[in-house]
Amino acid sequence: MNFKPLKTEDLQLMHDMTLKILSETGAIVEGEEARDILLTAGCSKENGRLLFPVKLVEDSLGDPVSVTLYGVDENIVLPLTDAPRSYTHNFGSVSVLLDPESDRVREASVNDLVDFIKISDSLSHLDMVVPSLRPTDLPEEIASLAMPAYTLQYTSKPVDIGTASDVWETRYIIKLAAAIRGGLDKLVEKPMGTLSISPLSPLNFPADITGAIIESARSGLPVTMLPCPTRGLTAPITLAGGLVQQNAEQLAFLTLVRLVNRKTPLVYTCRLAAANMRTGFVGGKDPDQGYAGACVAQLASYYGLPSAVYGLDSGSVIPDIQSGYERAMNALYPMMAGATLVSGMGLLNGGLLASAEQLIIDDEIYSMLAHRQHGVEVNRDTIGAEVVRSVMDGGNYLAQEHTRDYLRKGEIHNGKLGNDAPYEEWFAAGGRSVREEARDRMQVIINQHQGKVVDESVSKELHSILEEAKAEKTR
Amino acid sequence: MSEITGDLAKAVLEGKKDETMRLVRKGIDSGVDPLDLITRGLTVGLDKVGEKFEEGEYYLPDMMLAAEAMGEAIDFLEPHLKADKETKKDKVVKVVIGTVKGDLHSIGKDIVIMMMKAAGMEIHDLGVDVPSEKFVLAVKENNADILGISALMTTTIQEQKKVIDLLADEGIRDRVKVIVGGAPLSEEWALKVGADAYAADAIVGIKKMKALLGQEG
Repeated sequence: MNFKPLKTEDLQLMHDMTLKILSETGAIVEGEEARDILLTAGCSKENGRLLFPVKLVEDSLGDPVSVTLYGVDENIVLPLTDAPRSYTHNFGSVSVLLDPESDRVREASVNDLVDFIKISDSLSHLDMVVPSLRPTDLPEEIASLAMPAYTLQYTSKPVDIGTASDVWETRYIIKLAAAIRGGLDKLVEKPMGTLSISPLSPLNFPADITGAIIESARSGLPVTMLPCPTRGLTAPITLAGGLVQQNAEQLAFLTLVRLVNRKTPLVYTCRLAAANMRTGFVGGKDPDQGYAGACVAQLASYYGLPSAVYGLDSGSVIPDIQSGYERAMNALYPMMAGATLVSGMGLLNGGLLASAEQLIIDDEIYSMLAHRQHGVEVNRDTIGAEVVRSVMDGGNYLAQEHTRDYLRKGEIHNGKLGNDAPYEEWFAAGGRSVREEARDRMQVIINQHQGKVVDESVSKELHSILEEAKAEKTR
Repeated sequence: MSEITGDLAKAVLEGKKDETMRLVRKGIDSGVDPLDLITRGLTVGLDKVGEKFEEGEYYLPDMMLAAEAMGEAIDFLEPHLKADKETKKDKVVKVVIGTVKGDLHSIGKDIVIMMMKAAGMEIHDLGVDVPSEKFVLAVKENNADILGISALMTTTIQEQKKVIDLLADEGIRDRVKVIVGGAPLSEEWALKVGADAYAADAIVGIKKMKALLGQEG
């Protein structure tokens, strides 16, 4: 697809203004080691911030490293650089979910997390499993590490290794993923996902975050640079200003990573949201999320980096009509612009609420969005003038090999959810909504999907790493 | 005099800080009672801002700009006020507020602070990354009516419970109303950690605070 909202001169101006912000306003960078690295490389101090010289940033952008992810099963390969299509993943780190039975929100448990991983593993349009639910029935110290620990055990797909918010967390997330892969060397060679790190906006890298960045960069594992600014609150209210500020956050992040380890692969990831300007709440009811994602796909590609952006999201708190139209809109723009990774499956209310039914419905939405991602194949055979001739001569289309063959190739979308039967038939079959269909499918998946069964020895190793992490944290 | 207070109300209503400051300086220079500048000018403007916000015409930036204009004008006028306001000060609602340890997010808290200032409350902002002990100490020192505890990340909301537990350990839990805020939170969470109230946004927050103190919402 070829939707390009930004013109070449727009990209150039955005790049120039990014360098201006970094070299004249600078960023707050805490943490002695990060400051030493940047100051040695030519940054200077002003007003308590570090200024990034234009040349340093431009040098850091040179020779981007290509990124390829592998499933927990190494046969599954996702080439993020020059990806043939947009890949998808679910939401991450949500601690409350919409209970399908009661339709009320409740806190997530370990069992919920395992169910969500199984569902994610089973869905054919979900490419990468992100540790989704943060269980509240585990000791607080290890709840964030438990997310990747369980996720790695129940899927064979690529897994987002985890969100790193300090050095301790980074070390243990890497340890967990290395245990699954059979060693750090093998993990670096065939990473199953990235380490995600979020600076604060505007342009603020606290000590724990720079610690996590340096530790991650050293490991050589792919790193997801994940600024999450909100237009009007923590970034300029204009879409152009928000994009440029987050671009400055990306490039400051990138500069630090590349000074530590030039071989570390990077993913340009943006979560640019807008707030409700009466309440200040960031609830996800924002058609610009998708449009911003399309712009980010262009910016990332300008730097030769794969992009990861918001996709399916909505302000709604239940899988309803609002959720349907907002998600389709927000995912369509970035997919048309060729974003590498599109997120949000199973997510409601701007990232605050998870829903298993929504996760299953999203698989259907993506299957429809992906259906024409490659556009239309136009050649003599697809046009089929001969077929028209033979039908006009007294045949019928159903009895043509052309029809059968292209049907098998997927020329007409064949979905798993939703109604297309006439009313009487729909009513006779129980008159069920797509949400009820999704709920039934959810039960089938939870009861029947085998997924990956991890070796008991590996499972034990992961749990002993969690215990070790807990002991170190509480010491 | 009525002309200058009217202009002052209008300047606050429109969020014009420079114009507000020009007018208060002019008022003082021409001998207008500073209390009149506040009660008949600035406050009238800010009340009108509140009305427009309630009616849906004004948004957060309108509030913020008006509150900033008013705040700077009050700072300028304060030394000119006679010292007879001390007794009145006891009746002002005192709030201690901050973001928990390990969490550096401030924007949500700052919006709440702005709304509380506009509602005439006295604010003691402890900033971000605030340890539990500091919250408790500030509640004691300021004899706070309300303690606001903010946390944005699923990894830091647990700190809210620590603060509330420490208030109980120190035997002052009953002396202060505790309200928690932050995007990952819920009413259920507020009850679980022993807070008095939870608010999803600043507007609801102000209403709940007033309700807790038995004032009109």
